[in-house]
Amino acid sequence: MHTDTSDTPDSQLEAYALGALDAADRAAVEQQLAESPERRAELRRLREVVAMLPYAVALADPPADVRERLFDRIAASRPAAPARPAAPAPARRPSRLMPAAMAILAALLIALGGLTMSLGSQVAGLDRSNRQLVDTLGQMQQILAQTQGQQGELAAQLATSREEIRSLSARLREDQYVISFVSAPGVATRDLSAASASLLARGEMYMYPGEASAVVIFSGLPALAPGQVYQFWLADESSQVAGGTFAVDETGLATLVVEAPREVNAFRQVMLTVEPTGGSVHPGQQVVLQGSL
Amino acid sequence: MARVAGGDTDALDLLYHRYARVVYGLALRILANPQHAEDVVQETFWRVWSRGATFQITGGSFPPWLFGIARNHCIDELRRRQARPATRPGDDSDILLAIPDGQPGVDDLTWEGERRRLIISALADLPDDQREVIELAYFNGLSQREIAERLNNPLGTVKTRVRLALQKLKGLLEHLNGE
Repeated sequence: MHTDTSDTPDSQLEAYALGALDAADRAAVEQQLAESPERRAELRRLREVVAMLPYAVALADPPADVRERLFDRIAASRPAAPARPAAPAPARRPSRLMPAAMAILAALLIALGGLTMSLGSQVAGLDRSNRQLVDTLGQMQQILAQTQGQQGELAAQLATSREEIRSLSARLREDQYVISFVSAPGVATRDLSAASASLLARGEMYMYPGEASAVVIFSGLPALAPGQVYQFWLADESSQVAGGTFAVDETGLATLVVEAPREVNAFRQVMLTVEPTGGSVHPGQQVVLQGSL
Repeated sequence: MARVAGGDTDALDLLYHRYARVVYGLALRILANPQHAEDVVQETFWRVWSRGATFQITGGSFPPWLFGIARNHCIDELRRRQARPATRPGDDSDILLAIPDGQPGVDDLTWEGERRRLIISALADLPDDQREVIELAYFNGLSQREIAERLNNPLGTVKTRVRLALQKLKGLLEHLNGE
């Protein structure tokens, strides 16, 4: 076996035009042709030369039925084709190349058919998978939306719970303060009685001589109409000082921590009135409880 | 060819009348079998008819495309047979050297006859070894490597002969193709 690897694709162009290259060499030349318009032009010139070679052999007229079969075939391939040119009509003979070509074509069609069915099956399978994924995605999105809704509700509940905790904590601190206040040694108590005999309400005030703080525990207070609150007052001969407002629920119980502007025992009287929400500057006429210090 | 690509059977008929005898002669030379050569003629012009649009797209002149189709059919048939008709000693060089004796025949009075006379004249100007590789490559469908093995020559030598032969033929025939 002789080998020669020194040739460039350029030097192989003549052999390429002549059809005398192996597959690997053909590929190398074709790659070069793809990149060089000049080489493509040279190849066209060489092919013109090669196309002269058939004239070097003895020319011969093919039998007339060759042409006849050709145009029959063309007519059969195109139902609407115009009539073929007139020509002698010798006995027709089927092409010997046709059976092989038809067999190859049939095999190709069968293979393509199988491939098409296979691809069709794969596409259908992928389509089913795709639809399942879309359905699953939709379900997940729905679950996510529900979860987000629940999360929102839980967040609201959590906020409410925190507010309740804060409120309860404040209440607890207040109660602890009240308990410690009313149970401390030296505490003095004063009773607040109902201003009207029909009321069952009463109050008990806990205070320390010389201190401005006091605690008042109420019971039996009737619930008020909307827009009304109870307001506590401390009074002496010359002034009336508001000591805080509050509302009661259906239990009628309430505890009020009073922070007076001066020591509580400096005042002479206390009373509880009904006032508009937000409280009043001066006590109104609707007195519920009253007492002396 | 534009008319053929457009479905004009009259145009195909014109091409058939002009080139069928060249194609048939080529197929006879390569296949050495009249029936197979007839099939090549029919398959070649069927391809011209059914693939005319391909030629329109790729461009170039018509004879190289047509004869390329015909030769490929022949070589494919040769390979199907798994035997080459020109393996008998003496066949390889007979045809191209069968230059007419100078007596004007019918072909010489036609356009194709003029072309035949010119190519034969140009081939006759080639050294024998160059003409031989052209013969083996084009008419016997051998690659350069197969030619080297057949002739027991270095591959590089065969390549050089092919290159020189084609370039010389090109120089001799350029004026013809330029007409």
